Amino acid sequence: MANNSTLSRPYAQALFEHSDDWSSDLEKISLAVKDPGVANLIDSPHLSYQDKVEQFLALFEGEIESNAVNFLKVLGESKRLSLIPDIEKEYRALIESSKGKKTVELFSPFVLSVEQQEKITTSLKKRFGDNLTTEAGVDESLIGGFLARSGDDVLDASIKGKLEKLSNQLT
Amino acid sequence: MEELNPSEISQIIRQKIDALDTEPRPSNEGTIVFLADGIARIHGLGEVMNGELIQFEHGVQGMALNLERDFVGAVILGNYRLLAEGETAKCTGTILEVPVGEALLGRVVNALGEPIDGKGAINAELRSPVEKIAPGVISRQGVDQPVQIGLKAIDSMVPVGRGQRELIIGDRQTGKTAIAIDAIINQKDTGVKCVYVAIGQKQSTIAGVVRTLEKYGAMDNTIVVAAGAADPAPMQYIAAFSGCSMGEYFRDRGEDALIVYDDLTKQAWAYRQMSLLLKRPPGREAYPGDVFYLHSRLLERSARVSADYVEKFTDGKVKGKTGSLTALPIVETQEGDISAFVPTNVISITDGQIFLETSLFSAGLKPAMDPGISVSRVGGAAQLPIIKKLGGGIRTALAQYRELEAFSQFASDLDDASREQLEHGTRVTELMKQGQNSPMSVSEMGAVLFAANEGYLKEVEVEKIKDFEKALLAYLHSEHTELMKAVAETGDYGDAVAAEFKEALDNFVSTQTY
Repeated sequence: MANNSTLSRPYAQALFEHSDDWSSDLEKISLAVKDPGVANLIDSPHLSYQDKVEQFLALFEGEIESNAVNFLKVLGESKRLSLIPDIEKEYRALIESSKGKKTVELFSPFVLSVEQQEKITTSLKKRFGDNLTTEAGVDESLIGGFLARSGDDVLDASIKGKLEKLSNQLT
Repeated sequence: MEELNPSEISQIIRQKIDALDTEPRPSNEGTIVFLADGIARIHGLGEVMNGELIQFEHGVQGMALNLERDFVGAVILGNYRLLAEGETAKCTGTILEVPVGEALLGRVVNALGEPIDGKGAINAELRSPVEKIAPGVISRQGVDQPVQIGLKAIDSMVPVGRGQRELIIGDRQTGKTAIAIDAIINQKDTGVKCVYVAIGQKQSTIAGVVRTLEKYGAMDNTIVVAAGAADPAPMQYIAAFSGCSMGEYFRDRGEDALIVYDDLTKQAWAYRQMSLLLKRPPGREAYPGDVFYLHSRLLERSARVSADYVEKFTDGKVKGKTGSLTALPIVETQEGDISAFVPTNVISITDGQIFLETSLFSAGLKPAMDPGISVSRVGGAAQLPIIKKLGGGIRTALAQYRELEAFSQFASDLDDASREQLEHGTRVTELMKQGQNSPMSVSEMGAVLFAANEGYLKEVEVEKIKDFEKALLAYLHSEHTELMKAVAETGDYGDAVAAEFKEALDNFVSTQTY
């Protein structure tokens, strides 16, 4: 995971410096890589990496720009196709930080209503700045409340977190 | 442990729950991506500081040591087997601290200052960071008061002053720890607080030291910081710094303290282990590049500080008192090799060394100090007048003796002067022997040195020197109590004292048997 970010950072940086219209292509490719069938193809020991790259590229014929095809070939040469989701993530983070945006992942034990989410987002803006988007997710282990995460910064307002604090206090 | 009844327990729980802060606070988190050998690599923790305490799950703590671009390399203080890869780690915003203060005296604690002697909790009010910057030049003062080690050979030839760093170096089994323990025992009525830091030793050895200190009544003003061989390397590495912080508490409050690091070789080993696991590049003898800094920053904290510094530090509560922290670091050599990495480093950092030799130890010369290469660079200014005056002759006598001894092996007959010197040297060497755990007072030492200087030993057979000394001290204590007391208190030496000593010794020689 962390190793991947070391490897994927230079690629993302290069893409970002090249232009900022890679988003849609990267998203498509990364979706494909996340597909179990394609992942199996990349991990398969029966094919040579060159064959894998060819088969992989065939998936996107006519769908992506020629630049993106070249990029995939470069990745293929270094046997790093599986890095694509990480590269996409890094790339998005670079675009966001260049625009001064922040993404906050918002976890709650159940699906939040739109009003609830908006209310939390407004209060989070005080902490993380105005220019933020929230991505809601469900984590049942939280029991109640919510947990907001932006990069390494975490704001834990969940019942689980409070119970952990209580258990630390009592031991 | 203290006994608690059920109502007290529920009250304590209630208090703890009342004090609980459930307000959500922002924190900086990361994930353990690699965990082995007491080392964790953590992804995230973007705001961590170097040396910051990291909170893992299951109540385990760690310390951030390597801040890399994608990882934080941390050492785990405690049981790393409880942790697993994928678990979270949080920044705490604090650096490692240990409890300090008078409450620790008489206790045995681990490297984090937690009691391990089964005598209950320590109610220390203050905590102090383990890593601190040593006092600067302006806040310091010259070393001019002695720390009496209580060993004739050391106090007369390599005196130690308050605030000095005097290295005790030698092979295994040469009595290094014994000297340090004697020094601690000798401080029991002087008001000097002691800290004994045991690094990488057997638990049984540590227990033995604690028992010895208790037996001689020296434990009441001593703190023992123990990081045994079974403790993780980070604990062994930190123990020295923890002990130093505990000693600094006294230094900064205008008191005098003595700290023994037993031993820094093992601390360097622990640091080497950590560094290699953290993938820091190895250098000479596979130690990392900053082993010198490891020991120099530790030993620089032993200092004599001025009254102004103490007054400023205590906000004017303590006035006109200087503080000091004297260090007796111990380094173990292999086969007398003092040019190995750690010995050369520590020799160059300290203000002198007491060199112990296996051959002398085997010959029954205990303490097995080699007077030729043992030095004290600053202690001379701190020596008490009586020891300074009378001890001067000892070093010369021994130096001439060594020279003549080698020479006399070839020469068949010697002139009278040389023979006399040789005989005097033999007697002085014999006189310098001293039993373990029996440190001497200033007056006792003064009397014995006076006897040696004034030639009273000439008539005594070499085998009888020990008996002579014993009988002399018994006689002086019973017949010349006043003189002994006065000398012990002031440490002054003048014609009057010399005359009294002469009279007492003349009386002793003419009337007593030994």
